[in-house]
Amino acid sequence: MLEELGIGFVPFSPLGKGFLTGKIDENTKFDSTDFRNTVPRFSPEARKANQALVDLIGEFAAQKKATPAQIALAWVLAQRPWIAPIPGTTKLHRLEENLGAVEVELTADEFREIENITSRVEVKGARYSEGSQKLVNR
Amino acid sequence: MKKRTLGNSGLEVSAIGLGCMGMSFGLGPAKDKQEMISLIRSAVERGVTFFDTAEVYGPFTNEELVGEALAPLREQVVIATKFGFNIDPDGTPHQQPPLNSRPDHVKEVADASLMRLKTDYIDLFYQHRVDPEVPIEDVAGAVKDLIDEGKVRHFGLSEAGGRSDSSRARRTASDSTSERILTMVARAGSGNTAGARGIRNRLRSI
Repeated sequence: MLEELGIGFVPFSPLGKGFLTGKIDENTKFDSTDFRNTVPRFSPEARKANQALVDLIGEFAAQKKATPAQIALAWVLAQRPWIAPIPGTTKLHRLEENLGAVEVELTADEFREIENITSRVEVKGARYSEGSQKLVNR
Repeated sequence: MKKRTLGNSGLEVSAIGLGCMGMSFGLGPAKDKQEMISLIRSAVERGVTFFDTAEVYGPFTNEELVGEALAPLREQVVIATKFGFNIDPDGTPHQQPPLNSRPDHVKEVADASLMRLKTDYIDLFYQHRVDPEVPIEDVAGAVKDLIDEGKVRHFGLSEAGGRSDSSRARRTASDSTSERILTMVARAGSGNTAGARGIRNRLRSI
């Protein structure tokens, strides 16, 4: 639909609000002002369950000599040429890591392998609180 | 850094942009402003030309940060910001209702955002959330007026779903970029946010 209409697409939270970096696990404590405290997908139980996805992506990334974040971004970039993700960070080394994703080329087989990984893990927890969810997708 | 063009808009951006929200809002305490200004400028040095903020981040403080960081580099970069929450000019947010995309409000927010961003044009102005009280044609019409005045270059929709019709919006304002979550988590997720055919369906739903 976007393609038909010639509309670009800017994915936010392409790193799953930090989760896909592999640096967040069930023991991570968020500051009281961090809205991830309200996100069901970031409940300790959901984080524990979703860790399986991060682990699989991590294994793939290691084979590819890239980081999990770079694989996540490379996968988004490989979807369509009119997509530009906007990962956030407050650290220079993370910025450089994210920008490195532009150089990560995925072959068709690798792309399929990532699709296969993501279809094997059922991600637990909604991406927004009930209140916030009411404001989207309408 | 490789460049990409967002749809038919002609808006060219670095293949990877920089989301600035977490520097001031939402993900723990605001970070040191001078350090974040340095980070944003480092991103420009490394070829990033696409910077994302919103009125509601703070509110206001994130736009002020981005504006200060990019003012000396303005012509090299694309700044995206967003309107649509019900926030008073003094920063007081309202929950009843939480959204406000009435055309007069959209125009007031644009002027306030321009001041905070220290610029006279916004490259990409998104409706942050669809306002069920305001027809999309009226929202797009307000942005079209802003485009005609030179205050905005491109119009976008964020988190719009099947009931908003971006082709209708598009007929009113000529360019559009759609910002939505597209992550591997969403791809593998369940319910409304994903599913096996998630991405394709989500793209279709816009």
